[in-house]
Amino acid sequence: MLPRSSKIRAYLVKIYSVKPLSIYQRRFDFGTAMLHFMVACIRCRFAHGIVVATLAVSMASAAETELPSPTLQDLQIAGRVLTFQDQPTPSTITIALAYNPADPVSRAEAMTLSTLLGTGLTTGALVLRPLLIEQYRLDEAGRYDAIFATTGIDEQNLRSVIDRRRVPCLTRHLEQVSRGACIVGISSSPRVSIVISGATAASAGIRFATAFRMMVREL
Amino acid sequence: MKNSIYAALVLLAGPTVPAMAQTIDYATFEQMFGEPVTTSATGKPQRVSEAPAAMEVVTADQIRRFGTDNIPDLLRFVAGVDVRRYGQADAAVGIRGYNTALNPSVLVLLDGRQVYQDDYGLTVWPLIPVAINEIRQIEIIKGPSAALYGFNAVSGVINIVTYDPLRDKINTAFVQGGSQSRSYGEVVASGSIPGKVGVRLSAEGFRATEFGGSEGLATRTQPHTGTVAVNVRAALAPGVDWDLSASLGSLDSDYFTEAGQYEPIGMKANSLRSRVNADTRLGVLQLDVYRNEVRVNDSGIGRSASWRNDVTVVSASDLMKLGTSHSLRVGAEYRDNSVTSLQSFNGRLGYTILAGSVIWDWQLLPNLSLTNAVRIDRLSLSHSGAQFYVPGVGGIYRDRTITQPSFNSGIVYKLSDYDTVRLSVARAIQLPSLLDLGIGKDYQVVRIAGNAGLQPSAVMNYELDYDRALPAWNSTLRVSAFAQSANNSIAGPFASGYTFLPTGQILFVAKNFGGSKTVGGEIGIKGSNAAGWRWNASYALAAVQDETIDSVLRASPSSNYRHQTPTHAVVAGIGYSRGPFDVETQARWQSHFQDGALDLATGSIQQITIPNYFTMHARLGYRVTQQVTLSLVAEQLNRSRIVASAGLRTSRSLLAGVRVSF
Repeated sequence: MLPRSSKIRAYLVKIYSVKPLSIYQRRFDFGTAMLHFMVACIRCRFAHGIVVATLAVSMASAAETELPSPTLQDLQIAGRVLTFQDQPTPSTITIALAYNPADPVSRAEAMTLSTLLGTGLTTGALVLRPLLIEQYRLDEAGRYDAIFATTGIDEQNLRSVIDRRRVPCLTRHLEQVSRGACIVGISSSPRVSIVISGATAASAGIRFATAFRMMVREL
Repeated sequence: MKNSIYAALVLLAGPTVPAMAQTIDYATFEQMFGEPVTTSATGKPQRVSEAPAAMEVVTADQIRRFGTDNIPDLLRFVAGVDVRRYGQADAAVGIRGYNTALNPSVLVLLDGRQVYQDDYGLTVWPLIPVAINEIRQIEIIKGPSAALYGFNAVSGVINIVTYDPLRDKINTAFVQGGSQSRSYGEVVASGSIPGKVGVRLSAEGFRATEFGGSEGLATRTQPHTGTVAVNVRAALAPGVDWDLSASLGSLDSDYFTEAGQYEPIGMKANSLRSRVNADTRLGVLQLDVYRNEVRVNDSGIGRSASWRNDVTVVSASDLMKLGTSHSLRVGAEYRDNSVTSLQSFNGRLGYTILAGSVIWDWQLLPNLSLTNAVRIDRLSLSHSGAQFYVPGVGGIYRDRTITQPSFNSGIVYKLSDYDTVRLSVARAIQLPSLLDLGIGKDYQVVRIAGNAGLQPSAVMNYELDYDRALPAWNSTLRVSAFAQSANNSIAGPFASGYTFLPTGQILFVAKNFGGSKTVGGEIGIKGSNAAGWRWNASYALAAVQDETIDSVLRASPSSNYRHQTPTHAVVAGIGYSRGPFDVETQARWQSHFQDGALDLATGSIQQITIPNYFTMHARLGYRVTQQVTLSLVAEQLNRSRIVASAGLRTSRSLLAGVRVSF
C-alpha cells in the first residue's frame, strides 16, 4: 500500500521501483532503509520522513525472500516444458541465458545456470546447451532456440526480443511472466508450479500442446 | 488406411484447424511434476494431487517391488480396497464396502477400455489382457465417477494404464513359480520407429493347483489362464496419434458365485480397438471405437449354460481450454451390449445406450478450482427370441427404456503449498446385469428367471478429503470421510432367496431389495526418503446399514451388505532399497464379515462368519545385473491357511522369480 501523498509515492516509485501489483523481488536491507530515512527527513517534511522511514523499515523487516539459486530440477523442468511446443523441437536446444551485466545477482544466476548446463544437459529427449548473453546483445547473437531470463533484466527489451526472435522464454521469476515480459515461469520448490502467459506466447507465435496448457496455470 | 483415417480426422476437425503438439505424454509429465498424472478423474490431464476425487495411484515401481503376478493381490494393500480371494484365479475387488463374490459396482478399465463384464456384472481379473511389466500405473478412484464413465462406476473405478508403445521401450521376460505348483510367465516386447510408430506385444499365462478346501466344494484342481495382446501407436501427423490394439484371452477355473458354491467356468475373450487423438485448435479430439467379446461356458448346477457377451462402444469427445481459467470436455457415447444364447437367454438380450456428457473445470483462483460434470444415459432394453414364462408371473422379457442422469461435482482448494482440501458430491447409477435382467432356464425342479423390471440403484455420495504434505517426514497424510446412500439394491436370481411356484418348482428370480447407507473414510500416511526407506500405514472404515431387515436378507446373504462388508481394515508396509537389494513387506488386518455358502443339506444359502484375519506379504529382490533381477516372494507369510471367504481357504505361497530386461 503506497501513501497517498503524491510526493512520497513518486519518491518511492523512483528509488524502489515499486509497482502497485509487485510482490516479488524488491531488495531492501536495513542499512539502505536507514539511509533513505535520513534522506527523506532532509528532502521532505519530517512527518513525511517518518512515513517513508516506517515504510522502508517495514519493507526491510519484511524484506521478500530472494529465490534460492537455480537447481538442476529447474532446468530439467525447463527442458521438458520445451518438448510441449507445437512445432517439433530439435534434439539439441541452445538456451540463451539472458542476464543484466550491471546486476551482480543476475550475473550470478546466469553463471549458475551455465555451470549446471555444462556442455549439455540431457532432459528427457532433449539436450540443453547454454549460451551466456548480456541482455542487450540478445538480438545480435546467433541462433538460439529459447531464452532463460534471470533476475533484474530489462523486461521491455526482453519482450521485444521474444516477439522478434519468436522463441520461448522461461524464467524462475514469476513476476516477469505476470508482467508479460516472459512466457513460462517455473517454480520447483516446495512443489513444482508452472505458469504461462498466453498473451505473451501468442504474441511471440509460441503455442503449447493443449494437454500441457491444461496442467499449468495460465495468466 | 493411414491416409483415410487422417483424412477423416481432418474432416472432423475442419480444413482450417491445424494439428498441434503431441497428446498426453505420461512419462514426461510425471518427470516434470514429480508425481503421477491422470486423465481418469475428469477426462482432462491433471496431476493426481489436483484431481477432484479421492484417488490412489500404484506406480510401476511399486508393482515391481511388490512382486505380484496378479493385480487383486496388490490392490489388497490399498486403503479402502477390499479383496476377497476365492481361488487361485478368482478374486472379487470392492471399494469402500459392498464387496461380494461377484462385485458389479467397481468399473475396471484397461487404458480406458472397459474390461468389466456386463453379462454377470463382474470383472474377471486373470482375463484382463495385460502383463504385469507393461503396466505404467494403476489408478484407483474411490467413490462414484459416473459422469465420465456412465453406468456401474458406483463404488469406484480402477483404470490400468499401460506404457506408451511409441515413447516407452519395454522389453522384459518374467517367470515366477513355487507353492501349489504355481507358475506364471510373461513376455513383453516393444519396437518402434522413433516419432512414427511403436508396437508392443505381450503374452502371459498362469497355472496353479487350486487351494485345498472345505469338503463339498468341488473345484477344478488346476485353474489356468492366458492372454496375448498387441498395442500399436502411430503418429499420423504432428499432434495426431492413432492407437490400435487387439487381444485374446482364455480362462479355465472355478468361480464362486452368489449361489454360494463354485461353478466351473470357461471363458474365451477377444477385443479390438481403434482410437484416434488429435490436438487441434478446437481442442483435443478423440474418437474411440472398441469391441469386446466373451464366450462363457458355465457348467454349474449340474447342467451347462453358455452364452456370448458382446460389447461395442463408439465414443467421441472434445477437450478444450477456454480462455485462461476454463476447461471443457463434451462427449457422446453409443454402446451396444448383448448376451446371446438359446439355452440361457432364449435368444438375444441386450441394450443400447446413448449418452452425452459435459465436464467443466473452472480455475476460480490460483488455489481454488471447481469441477462440474453431468452425464445423461438413455438405455433401451430389448429381447429377440422366444418368451420365457414364469407361472403366475408371465413372460420375463419386455422392452424397456431407462434414462438416468449422473453427476460429479468437486471443489479443490489449496490452503497452502502443503494443504489441499477436496469437497465433492456425486450421483451414480448401478445397472442390473444382463443375467439379472433376463436369464431364463428351466431345470424341471428349478426355474431360474431374470427380471426385466428391475430398478437400477441410484447412489449419492458426499465426501470431504484432506491432504497434507509433511516435508519433515518426507511423507503425505491423506484423510477422507464420506457418506453414501443407495435408493435400492439389486439382487440376482441366486441372491434373492427362493419361492415355490404352484407347479412345485423352486423359483429363483432377480429382485430389488431396499437401499442402504454407508459412512466411512480412510486415513493414511505414505512416504519415502533418500536413504532408500519407504513406509505406509492406513486405516479404512466402511459402516453399511441396509434398509431391508436382517430377517429378510438372511436368505439372501449376497444382498446383506451390512454383514458382507468388513467394517475396519488396517494396512501397513515398509520397504528398503540399497544397492542391488530390494525388500518390501505389506500387512493387512481386517475385521470379520459374513459371506454366503450353499448348504447342500437344505439347499439354502447360509451366512458364514468369516473371522477377522491378518495377512502378510513380503518380497526380497536382488539385481544381479542391470538386466537380471532375482526375487523371492512370500504371500500370506504369517499363516499357512486363512479363512478369507466362504470358499476355499487361501494358502501360504512361496515363490521364486526371475525378471530379465532386454
